Amino acid sequence: MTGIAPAAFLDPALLSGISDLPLLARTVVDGFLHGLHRSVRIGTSVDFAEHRPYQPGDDLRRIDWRVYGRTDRFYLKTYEADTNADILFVLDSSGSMDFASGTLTKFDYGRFLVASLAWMAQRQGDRVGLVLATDDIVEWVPPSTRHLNLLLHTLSHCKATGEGQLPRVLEKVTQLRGRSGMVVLVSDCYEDPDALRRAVGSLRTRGHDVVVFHLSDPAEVELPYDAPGTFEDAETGVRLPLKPEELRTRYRDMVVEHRRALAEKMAAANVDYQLVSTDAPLDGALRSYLDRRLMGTKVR
Amino acid sequence: MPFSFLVPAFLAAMAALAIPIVMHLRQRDKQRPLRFPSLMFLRRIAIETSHRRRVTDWPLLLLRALAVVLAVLAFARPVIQKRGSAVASAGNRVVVLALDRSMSMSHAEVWPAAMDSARAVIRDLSAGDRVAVIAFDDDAVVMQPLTADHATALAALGTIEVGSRGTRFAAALRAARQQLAAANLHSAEVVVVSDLQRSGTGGLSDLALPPGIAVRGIVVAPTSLANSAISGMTVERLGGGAAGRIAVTAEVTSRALPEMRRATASLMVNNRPAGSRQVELPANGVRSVAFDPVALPPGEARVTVSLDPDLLVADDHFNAVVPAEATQKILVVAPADLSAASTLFAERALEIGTDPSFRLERRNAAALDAKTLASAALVLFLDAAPPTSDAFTAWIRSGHGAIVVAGPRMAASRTVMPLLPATMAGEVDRLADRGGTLGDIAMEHPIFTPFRGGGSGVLLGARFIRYARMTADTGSEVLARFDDGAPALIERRLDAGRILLSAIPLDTRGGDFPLQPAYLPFIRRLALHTAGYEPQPLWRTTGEGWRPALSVSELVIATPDGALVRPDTNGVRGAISLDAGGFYQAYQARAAGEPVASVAANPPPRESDLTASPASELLLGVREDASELTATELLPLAEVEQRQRLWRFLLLIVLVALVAESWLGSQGWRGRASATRSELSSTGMAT
Repeated sequence: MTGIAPAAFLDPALLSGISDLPLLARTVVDGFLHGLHRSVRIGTSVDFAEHRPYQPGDDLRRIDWRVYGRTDRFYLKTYEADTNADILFVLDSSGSMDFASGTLTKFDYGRFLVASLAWMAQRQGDRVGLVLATDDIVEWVPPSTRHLNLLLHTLSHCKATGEGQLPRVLEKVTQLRGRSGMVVLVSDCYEDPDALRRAVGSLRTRGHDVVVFHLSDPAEVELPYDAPGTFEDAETGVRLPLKPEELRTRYRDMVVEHRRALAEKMAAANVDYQLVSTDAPLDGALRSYLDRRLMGTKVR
Repeated sequence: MPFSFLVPAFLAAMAALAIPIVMHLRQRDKQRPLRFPSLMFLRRIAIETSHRRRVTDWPLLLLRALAVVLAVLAFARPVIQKRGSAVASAGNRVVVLALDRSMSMSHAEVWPAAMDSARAVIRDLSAGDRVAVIAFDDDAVVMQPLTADHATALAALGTIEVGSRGTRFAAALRAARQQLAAANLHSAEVVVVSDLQRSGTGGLSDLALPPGIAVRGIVVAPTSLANSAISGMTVERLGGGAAGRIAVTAEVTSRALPEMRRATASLMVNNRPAGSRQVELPANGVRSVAFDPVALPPGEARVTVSLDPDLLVADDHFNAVVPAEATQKILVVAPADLSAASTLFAERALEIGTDPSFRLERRNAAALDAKTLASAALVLFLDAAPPTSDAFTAWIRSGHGAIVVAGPRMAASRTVMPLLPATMAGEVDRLADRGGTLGDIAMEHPIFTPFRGGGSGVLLGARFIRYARMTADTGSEVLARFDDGAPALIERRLDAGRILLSAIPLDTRGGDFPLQPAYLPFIRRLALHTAGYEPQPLWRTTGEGWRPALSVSELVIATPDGALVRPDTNGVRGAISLDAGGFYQAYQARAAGEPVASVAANPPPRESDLTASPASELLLGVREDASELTATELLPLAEVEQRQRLWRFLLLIVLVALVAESWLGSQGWRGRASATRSELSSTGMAT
């Protein structure tokens, strides 16, 4: 391993050869963290933030007596401190995720991504949970600091099949989650942008931070087929005889428009939306997650 | 070079052409579908049905269709027809000239005109035209096969002589068709030079001609259809022996005479005038001319009746051969103690008849040796069992016959009689019910010929009081039964001979049959049939075959025109064809002295009817030979195979087309599509 550049561990083509998901997640996270700038604070240490005047009802134990000795006024010390958060990963396991024009399907890419993020969250002391979603919740791993192995095991043995209805699943997740935390949605987002916005809006209303990783295969965008043929919907099984070369332009326009609408709707809902191509390394997704995590976990 | 198909039904398989088209249109649906994450966007794009049903790959479709079409054509077995090739290639005509030489063509006005017309047909041909010459009457003979040498054809035409036979156009057309087929020609003209007698159109409905054969009739009918002909003759024998005479009556038929005609009919017997009669012939009708009886010379008498000749001379003579008076010897075997009354009726009845007459001789059963039997035609056993000697059995099997009349002695006999067709079971006494009658009679049997057509009542009128009860053996035929079901007359055939066992009493002891009018004809027919007697006809019709019923070696037959013919006396080829009218006389070894057998031949009476049918009606009823395979069937196998080998090339082209289809299918976007699909399949993502 030492002979290989750390960034190489983030290459999907290389990751596809690793069957052990925990090993893969650890490799990815180690490789990723090795390249991060040291100024980024991570960890569980407690650091001073500022003083504020005492107000009735404050905990008397947090009064800074030294400042009182010098100023004869009561001030309380405040600290910047990380708190353990609930990270719930929602992985779309519908049939549409089982597609690849290269070596890695969207579902495998999503599994790697979720495993890596979970591994990293675990290292930060967060509680990690997992939801496998199709048109309903297929698997449910409640967030816990001890559920990483269960999460990885579940990811190792799941398959992408069936129809998907993310808004419905997200509504259920909203009802199940009482404690605010972070919801990481990994999906190909073949949903109506408005419906998806309403679903993530509900999560946001409950105080959850939401990160959406929109996985995309290059062939889904390019429609690189020339021969007339029958296309089968991976979720519904519906078949259509098509001449791709005649439809390609209009199809691309629709895909671009769909993504633009998704980005707008997610931004409006104050949700991080990250479009991830399955032929791209994992670091972009990891960085996006980390930024959001650092921003969301600063409590006083 | 036209061609047709040996198995055209296979062309129906051309409907299979729809298969590659439908497959082509449905190909995308039948391919393994390309699994795509979501058709959410693609479904929103309007898909026009016409696009889905449009042929997307014309070269592939055309190659597949071509393969199907060629395969179907190959299985239909195309065959090249070179019909008319000789005509078309050279631009020359092919003519088959058929000249009628039947008796009616001997009309004084007709035959010269027919020959002139026939010659004119040949002379009108251009150089290079081919012609065949056929002479026909009721049969056809190719006088000259197809040749471009017109002089040879004219020479062959000159050898044709008018005959005495009837007319049958079908024979001429069939011979013409065979000539053309043998020369591999389906297109030609058949010219029939004839008087086109209406009576000669028989058999045309059985004929089929290829469409390319045109038939043209040249009518050479006389200016007048008036004709008188002797159409028949009857000869009655008056008395027998040396004082025998014959009375000849001729039947003269007149047609289309302008007025009543007075003519003289002459009778000749053995080439000597024997009488004449003046006769007034009606314009249309039949008149009988009876000559005075003339003495019958010993042996056969050749009788000829002649009429004053008119323009058609051939039917003004009529010939007949009156055979010598035939006498059949019957040997009568009866027990010594049999009363004379028991044999009286049977013997008298047999002796009464003439032509042939029967001569009865009493014999003892033990005296029936080969020598005695050799001169006999029949043995009549009256209540006596036939002998079981080898000589008698061999005599029966050689074609002779015996009648066994079962009386009370035979009925009571318990001895086995192996030659008899039944076993005896006593006697039936029908006195109580006033006698029985015959109940079931096989009227189709020759014995009962005189009683057909209502005459059976005469037979049924006889009553039988006593008769022998018999049980028929297997293999024998019961010809008559009594009304109680008991067999009355049984026949058994022994090779060429026969034995008839009769329970019908022939005397008055057993009933009143001898007193009935049916008795005489019955017993005479019984004797004639059992003796195997067949009367010889007075004359035969020209065109028939004649084979003298003689066991004579080195037979020589003199024909009416003086020619001598030595027929093969072994086998059916020994018969000769009676082509000419007149007397045919058979001699032994040399044509000298008295003939051993004679026969008279006369033209068919219908040939005297000169009524002609229009030339346009010549082909009425002739079918068109749609198969046109006659010539092909006659071709050598190598050439037949040569003409049918197209299927091999077609299958070869099919193979090439399929290879091209496979190659084309792997080119261009088809190949890329396959590669894409296989690539996806290898990852397991696209199923």
